[in-house]
Amino acid sequence: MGDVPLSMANEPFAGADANRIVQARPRIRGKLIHAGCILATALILTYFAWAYESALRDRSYFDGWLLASAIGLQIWFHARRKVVSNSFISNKSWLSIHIFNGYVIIGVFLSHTKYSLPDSFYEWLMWLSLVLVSLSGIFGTYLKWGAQAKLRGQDELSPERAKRRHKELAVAAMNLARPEEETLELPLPTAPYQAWLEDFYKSTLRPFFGGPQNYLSHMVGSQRHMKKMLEEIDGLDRYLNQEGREKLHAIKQLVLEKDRLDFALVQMQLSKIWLLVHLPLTYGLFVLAFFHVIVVYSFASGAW
Amino acid sequence: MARSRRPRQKADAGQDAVSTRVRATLLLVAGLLVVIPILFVLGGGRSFLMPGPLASGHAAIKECQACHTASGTGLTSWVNSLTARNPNNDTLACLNCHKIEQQIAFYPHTATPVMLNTDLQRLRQVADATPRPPVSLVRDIAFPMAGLMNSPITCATCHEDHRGTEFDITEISDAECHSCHAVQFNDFDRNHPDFSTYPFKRRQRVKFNHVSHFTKHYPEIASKNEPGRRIPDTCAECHTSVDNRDHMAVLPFDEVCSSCHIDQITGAERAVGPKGIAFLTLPGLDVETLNERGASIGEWPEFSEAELSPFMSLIIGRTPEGQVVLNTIDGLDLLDLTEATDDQVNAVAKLAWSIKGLFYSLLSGTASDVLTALNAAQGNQINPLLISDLSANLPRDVIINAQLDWLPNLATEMLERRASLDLQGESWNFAVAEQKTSAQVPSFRIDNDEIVPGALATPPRTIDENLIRLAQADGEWIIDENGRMVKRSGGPDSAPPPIEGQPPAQAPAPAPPAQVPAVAPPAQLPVAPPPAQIPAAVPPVAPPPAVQAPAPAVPAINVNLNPGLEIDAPALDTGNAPPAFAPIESSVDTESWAEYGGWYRRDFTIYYRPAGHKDKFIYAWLKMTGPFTSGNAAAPATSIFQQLTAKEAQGQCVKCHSVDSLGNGGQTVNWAPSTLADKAMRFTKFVHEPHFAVMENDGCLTCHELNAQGDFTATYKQGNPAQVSANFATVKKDLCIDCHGTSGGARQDCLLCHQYHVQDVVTPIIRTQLPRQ
Repeated sequence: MGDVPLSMANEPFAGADANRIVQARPRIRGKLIHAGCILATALILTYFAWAYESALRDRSYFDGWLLASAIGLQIWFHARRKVVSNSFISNKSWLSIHIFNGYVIIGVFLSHTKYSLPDSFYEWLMWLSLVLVSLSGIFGTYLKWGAQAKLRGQDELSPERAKRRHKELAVAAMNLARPEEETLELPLPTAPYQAWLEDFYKSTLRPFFGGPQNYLSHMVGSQRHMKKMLEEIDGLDRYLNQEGREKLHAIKQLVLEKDRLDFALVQMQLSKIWLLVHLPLTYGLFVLAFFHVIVVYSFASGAW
Repeated sequence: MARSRRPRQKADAGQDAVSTRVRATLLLVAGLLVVIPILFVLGGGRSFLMPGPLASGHAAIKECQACHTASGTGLTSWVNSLTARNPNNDTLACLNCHKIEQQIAFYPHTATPVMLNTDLQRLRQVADATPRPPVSLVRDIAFPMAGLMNSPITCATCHEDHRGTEFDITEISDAECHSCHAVQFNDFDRNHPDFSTYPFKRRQRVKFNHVSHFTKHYPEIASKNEPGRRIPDTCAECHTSVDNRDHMAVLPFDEVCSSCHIDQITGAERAVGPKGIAFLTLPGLDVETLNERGASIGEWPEFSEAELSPFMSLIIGRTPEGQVVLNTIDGLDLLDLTEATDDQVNAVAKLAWSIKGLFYSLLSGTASDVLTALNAAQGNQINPLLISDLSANLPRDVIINAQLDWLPNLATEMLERRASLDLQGESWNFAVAEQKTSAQVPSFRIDNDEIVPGALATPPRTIDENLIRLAQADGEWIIDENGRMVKRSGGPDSAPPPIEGQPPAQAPAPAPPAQVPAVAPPAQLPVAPPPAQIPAAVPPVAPPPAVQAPAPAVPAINVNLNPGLEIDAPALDTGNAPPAFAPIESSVDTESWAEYGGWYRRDFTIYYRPAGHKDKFIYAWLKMTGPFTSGNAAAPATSIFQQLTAKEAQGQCVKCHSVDSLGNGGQTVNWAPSTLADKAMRFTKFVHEPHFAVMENDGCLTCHELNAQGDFTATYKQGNPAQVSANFATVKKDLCIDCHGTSGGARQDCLLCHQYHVQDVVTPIIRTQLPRQ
């Protein structure tokens, strides 16, 4: 046996599944409320945009300023941390507002562009900026939601801790898969349960525990790789004796934890990368919008 | 130790990530702040700033400032328009190509304020009875319209460009219509009010009584079995939309009306009264009383019973003096002046001289000399281009013949009168000028074919050029070597009128009566000597040889224009010339001679007989006098208009063409049926053509139900075109709903039947100047 005791394999990195099931219903309700709010806001804004246009004014001015205001609010979400030390709105609430506002921006943006592609270079520049900001924002949102769903109840994971835990899991899996110490007694001839387990370890488990795996699958939230792995484990289970099954069960828990650990690592890396896109582009978009307003009012002819 | 180091490492890693993001953000923002302004300035002729391609119709516009007037031409001048912008100027730029009157370009619907007010009052009646939708109430609170409606409406308010080549810039949504029209007709079948008068907002311009034609006239004609008469079988034989699908036009008179109504115009069916219009007359005067009262009018036929025509009244009344004369003799019986006052007698004398002056002027000058000076009831002078229509190209020979017949010594009389009044100039106005003294009243007599002037205080200073021209044209008079006017066939005892610098001729001995025909001398068509032989002015001492030469014997062709009268042709010295032709006898009277229109003379009147439909003479006079008519029937313009529009007037124009009263008291004749141009100022449009296929068995009567109840004719006894009693019932909205309702499937948006711009917005041809070297 190695440094890591077998019991450690049972030490959960992922929290209790029971809590997740209990909390599922309120979370769905919350999402429905959020979706309802977004829909209601969209309807209200659509009505006002229609009313604005039917009042013989150019709707582009209405949704344009709405868009500029919403982008300003998004920027304030980031800048307030540097400016305001104490806020009566919690960070969590700010984040919710930020995400909600982001969806509103997408709707207003579609309205502002009249649901069509841009015609000029400058408009393409703004269009692409906003699309990238929106996509990165959506990506970040789902990244966070995915992390919350998978890593709920866990301590904050650092890269160092993840690396160490990787090693612990690999050792534990190796210990479980290797044979027991030999005895002098000659056993009766039986099936080579242990050999099968060792083969499985060598062919499948060792590469899996060798380092972070399935990067792309975790990035898109896919469980396909894990389903395949668990099917193999369950397929082997029927050929093992009782002792082998117990080991295999422990290995299965280690595999699950390793997978969550891989996911957490991907999350950590992506969370750094998407912000590197989202944040500068948001400020850049604001600058583009500023010049856009100058041009629009310089060449305006109708009523607004 | 390890515990304390771990958070720091984490913090360091976090700081690194943050600083990377901040650096990237700052770099991007700074880059954009520098690059974008550079691109704005140097971005390829501002195409960088364009939000999108222009509509196809505007694709030729390459310069921003052509529409965005404040943007200027400089690299950065467009930024100035942030403060100097004036959207009205941009709209004025639109008007460079799209022609709308500038006065109404900024009004809603590009309609006049009067029109807007009228329609607004009508719409408010509808709106008051209809509850306002709450949606519009909310809208008006959020985005009030008051400010926008009280300010000029610019083109860009509705027409947005830079939305692509294929974008329809003229498209307007119902919602935009509802922005001002607070009571919203969300759908045609439920909310739109019923048609109240559509399509008969005014009475027909041409008084075609469909009911009486269908039920009375056509059956009558059919029963007579006259092959030349045309009876239509279908509506399409008179109405068509072939020329323009937006308008159901009436076919021309020649195609649909002429076979039955042309004789009414030319007068062929006229049983009573002259078939021509009395234009120039020599009115009958009580010559005896005038002579007794010392009002000398010179030569004047004693047996004329003609009346002063309204046309002559208008011509004579063109001057204040003429108007005084006409006012003074108003209501006076010119044939019996025994009860007339001195002023009236004097006015009659002036009238006589004025008429002579008119004939003199018409012969010595051109018709335009007379008619351009004309004005109708203090209106502006007439357009010279109208003169040919107003005179219907009255031939000069007709006037010459009339003058020779009625006033054979007119030339001499005019010369005498001019001399006696000491007036110069070519104007014929002197005829009615005040006489200086009673001693200067000219008097003359015709004695042995010579004009013998009476005592003249002041002899004429020069020979009137007009006189010479008259003599030349006449052929019967020449200027002798002493500058005297003598008859061509006269002997040495002829006494011509005096000329300047010479004593008046002695009164000749009494001579036998002149051989000038007493009533109607023959119209002579002499071969006049070449113009070069006639001097413009005859020197008093040394007359030119051409004048001294004996006058050639000129044969004359005597044509009797009044065949009913027996005429003694004057003896002519034919010499070696061929013998004179005998007059051609004809049993055709002059009126019948002008069977299909034109000028003719009878008794003391020159008539014009209408020359068929669209007669320019009648049209021109009605067009000119109509706006100046008034309640005073004696006023010349009113008198002419009433004469030409009377029920039994020659031409029978107003039998079919309605007369509308104008706001200023004048009147106008509607010469044409409704045209597409008449629909220009309407909010409603209807295209007949697409509906032909969906009509039921009743055809046009599906929508246009015949209405025999109304008094169609009574509508035209007054001048207000808005009073309608149509032959057809109002179109029912239910008929439209069958297709244009919610369940009908056809369009029912506002612009299907209504147009925003009530005036056509047209793009005029550019005024390209011809290339010059």
